[in-house]
Amino acid sequence: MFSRELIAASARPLLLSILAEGESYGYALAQRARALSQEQVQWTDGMLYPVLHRLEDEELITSEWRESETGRERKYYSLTRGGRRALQREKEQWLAAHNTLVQLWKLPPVST
Amino acid sequence: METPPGFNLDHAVAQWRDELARQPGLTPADLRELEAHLRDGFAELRKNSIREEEAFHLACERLGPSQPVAGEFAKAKPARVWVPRVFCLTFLIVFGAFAAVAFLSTPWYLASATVKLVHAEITPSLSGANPNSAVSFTSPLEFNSFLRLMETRDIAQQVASRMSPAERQDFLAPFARMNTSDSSANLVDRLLLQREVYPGRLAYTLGVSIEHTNPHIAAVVADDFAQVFIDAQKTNPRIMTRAANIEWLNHAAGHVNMSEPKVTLLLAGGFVAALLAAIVAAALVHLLTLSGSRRPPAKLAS
Repeated sequence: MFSRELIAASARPLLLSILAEGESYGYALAQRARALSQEQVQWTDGMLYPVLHRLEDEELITSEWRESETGRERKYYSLTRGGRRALQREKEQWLAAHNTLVQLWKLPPVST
Repeated sequence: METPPGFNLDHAVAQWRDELARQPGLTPADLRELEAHLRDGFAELRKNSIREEEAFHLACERLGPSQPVAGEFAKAKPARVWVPRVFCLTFLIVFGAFAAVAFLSTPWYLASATVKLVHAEITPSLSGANPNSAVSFTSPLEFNSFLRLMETRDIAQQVASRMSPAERQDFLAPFARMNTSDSSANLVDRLLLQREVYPGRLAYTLGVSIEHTNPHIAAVVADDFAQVFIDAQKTNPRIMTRAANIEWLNHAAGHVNMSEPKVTLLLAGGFVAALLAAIVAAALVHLLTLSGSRRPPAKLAS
């Protein structure tokens, strides 16, 4: 089980990474994150949106309201160029942290 | 329909939305997005043939309780919550202060006495002399000289000397915090400060008004001003040549009214000042929270 702090810290790279696969909307993002973490991350879906809005404020993602195939309106998010750069930086930092720890745990490091 | 009676999705969603809307910091767009999420979650759960009511409750649960969720939204955009709060608070405090001063401070009264300068039923025009007038004015300038006469320190001094010690004390009471080492000079200065001389709007009359917290003393002093002015006219050779007509030089006094304009002015000024202060405060908060909104979220999990 992830701690609250870790969930909060990882939300940003997680959302950027999912959006790097292509545009998506809140519900699908939450579902994808849940599936990826194999239910280890206990998301409260509503908490996802403030993070998305913050990323939007920082112009790392953009959003657009569109009608979905179900006929209901959805707000679709997609990564900007700045978002891709931010994701690259996040990746480097998380892997650096990861590699620092795995040395102590005698596990193989991961290369970028 | 397999829908059990008693559950209506739209009704349930509306109720859920209403409760969420009561939380501060959520915009209509936020609510729309959360509702879309709720309906998506509901539709997915229904696919797994979960009962409608249960599916709705599960979808709500996944979305999270309204208060902490709204709290996170507010944290992401603190300006949304704080700007209106600070605006209202600043406005209320500043306006309240002005209103308190306007209503709680001692009311001021305005007493005025008027001196009738012309002995005529019908107001003469400035250009032509009226044969019935004891004093005829050939120009507005001449009329103004009467105004200036009323304004002299000499008249104020005579008014001061006519006042009884008790009247002097009453008159100076509201200004007690002022230096009273030379009370007679002080009294004259105060008399000059509290009086206003103005020409009558429609007739050749001179008005003198005294502003004071005590309406009685204000009326007495206004009367004194008028009387001293009339007495001074009796030594004016131009008036004396028509001594027979002297009785017209009369005055109407004792008209006292509360100086409402001060309250209105304070309220109007307070409104404007409060509005400006609120705008400035809200703008400051907006700028401050703008830089703060870049901070990472405190928590994401329930």
